[in-house]
Amino acid sequence: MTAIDPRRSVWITGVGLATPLGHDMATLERNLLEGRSGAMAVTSFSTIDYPSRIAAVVETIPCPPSQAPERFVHLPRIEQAALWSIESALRDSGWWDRRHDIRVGLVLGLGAEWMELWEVDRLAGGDRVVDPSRDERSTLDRVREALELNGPSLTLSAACAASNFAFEIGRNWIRRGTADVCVVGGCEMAVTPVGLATFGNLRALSRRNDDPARASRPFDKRRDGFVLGEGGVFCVLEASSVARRRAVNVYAEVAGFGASSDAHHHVIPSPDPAPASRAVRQALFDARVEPHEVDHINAHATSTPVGDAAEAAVLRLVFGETLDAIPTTSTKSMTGHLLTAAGAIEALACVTAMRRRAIPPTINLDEPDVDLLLVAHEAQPRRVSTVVSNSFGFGGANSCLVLRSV
Amino acid sequence: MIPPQTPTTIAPLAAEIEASGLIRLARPEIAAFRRRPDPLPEPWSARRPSTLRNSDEQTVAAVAAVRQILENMGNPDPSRFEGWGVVAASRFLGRSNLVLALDRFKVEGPWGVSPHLIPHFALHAQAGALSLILGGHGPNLGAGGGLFAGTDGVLTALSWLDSGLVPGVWLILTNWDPEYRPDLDGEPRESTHCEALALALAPSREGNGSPRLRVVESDEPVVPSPVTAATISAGLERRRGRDQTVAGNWSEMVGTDATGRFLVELASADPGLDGGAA
Repeated sequence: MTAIDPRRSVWITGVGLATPLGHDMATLERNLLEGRSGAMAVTSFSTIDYPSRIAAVVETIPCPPSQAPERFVHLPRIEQAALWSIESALRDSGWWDRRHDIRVGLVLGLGAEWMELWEVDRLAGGDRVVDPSRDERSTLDRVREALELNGPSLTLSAACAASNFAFEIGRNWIRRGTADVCVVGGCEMAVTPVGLATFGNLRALSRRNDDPARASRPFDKRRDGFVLGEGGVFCVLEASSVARRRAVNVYAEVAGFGASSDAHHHVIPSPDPAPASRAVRQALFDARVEPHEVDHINAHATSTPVGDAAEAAVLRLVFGETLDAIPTTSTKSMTGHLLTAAGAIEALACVTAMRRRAIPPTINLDEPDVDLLLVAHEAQPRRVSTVVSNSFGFGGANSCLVLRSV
Repeated sequence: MIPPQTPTTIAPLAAEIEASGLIRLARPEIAAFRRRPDPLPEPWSARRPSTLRNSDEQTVAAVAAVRQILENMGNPDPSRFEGWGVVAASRFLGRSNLVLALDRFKVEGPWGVSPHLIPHFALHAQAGALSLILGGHGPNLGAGGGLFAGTDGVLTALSWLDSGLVPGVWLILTNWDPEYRPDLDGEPRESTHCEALALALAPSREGNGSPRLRVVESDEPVVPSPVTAATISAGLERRRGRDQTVAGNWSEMVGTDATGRFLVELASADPGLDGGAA
């Protein structure tokens, strides 16, 4: 394995999350390794006529210490999730109390911000959607101001691949000094009346309504769509040289990134594995990792019939026979699909595998229909150092992140 | 504790503007472009026009801007742009469609909700559609989405070029002017045009006279002002006039981020100004 380059290596030194499987890392790790599903029947609104009536929801988002609870409870849920997760990550990294002394960047993966804000307001009888003057401040602006962050910031989306792109931009800002510390990740709260309906009518969601915990079943022969998830997940990135001096807890190195586009269809993955394989190869090259050096793959696999099979073909094209020795899992079987936050929660699943020396399982994998070495049902003890995490999205967006233990 | 780097010690993110294409379209013109059998000129795209059938009007205008930039560049061969990324910074994509969709949901319930909402009106949608139309395999990414989307788009594109992720970027900025204020039928309450600017961005090269686009951190915040298709285009126009009368280095702010601390500038090609991108 290639030695870490201290001039360019960027480390994850803090994490924060609001997810269906917990709002702190220890809880998330425990639930992932125990194979618990976050999916349940949706009860926050009537789902009588919905094709899919299940989701992996975040019921109550904790109020971060810096915010006033009486104000926090009235904020949009996207903002709540972002505030809690970002502040938690900065506190976890040890930067929170010193954030005014440095430039803290923020790269926010968020794909349906305005749709979700307009929907909540409209269904409550408001007219925000027809009044642009109420939209002058974005979630990014409000969060940055509330948390008093003073570095560069931006919102981005490559749909379900968004978080990986956030890692890449944050890593670049750290390397070149544009930010001293950068918070990166994703946030999406799409389990809304219209959100659940539009994904359902797209025929993207599982209709296994009578058995939510068994509905998300990536790579299983009887998979019938994904389980919509929601949440916010963020990581603090900083230069390894700085983290070493601070002697802080380090989760992983962001070692490599690659990205490509299918140029095939707005929604359907390309049947040609070549474009997506380019992203994976680019990430391996960037990390200076050979395929045989990869210890584990966290697949994008959402539990759709077409997508999972397409990803298996991509992995086979990249790794060849080496793939037969690389344990692969899809933690969406437990978390549901967090959309723009998916890549970030899966990065934490990779970190879990490294820290706990056990690979989280793909639950509900009763009858695999792809040729992969899958970790089914139960966590698999294994020393993990280098992990590949795929995230693919609508618009033909492909991304791959390589994380390495430190 | 690390010593914070002062803004002046860090080379600004910067890139060279190879070409630009600006479009300003009224809604009937957007409708006409949507029906074109050839969104881009040969040999660029064999895509059927149905690719844009459900797209937001800003996305259609974005494709028109790409067509314009290709014409301005003399319709270059697509192979020259292999691996180029697409960054699309739209503002309030889907607003007019959401007016109808949300009210229809209130009447008809979930079965009345279109499956096209996420694929065509979420932030990624414009970049995804452009990637499809261009037919390239470089990455595509939506940026911004709100009033200051332009700055997010510029930051993203310049970051990609700086890191070496891509050899070039198609950066597309779109917005309504004035901002689209729909009535309850989704129709605009006042006349408005969709502006779309396509920029071909490449890493800065010494000795090249093309103008630069860069992001500079200011020691003192200025009054925030959005970066739009029009502000960049107008700056480029002024630069063309200035070239005929003024020699030497120049720079001009074309907008900021929402805090007024990060300034987007057009600048001359002096490598000492931008530090050179990767």
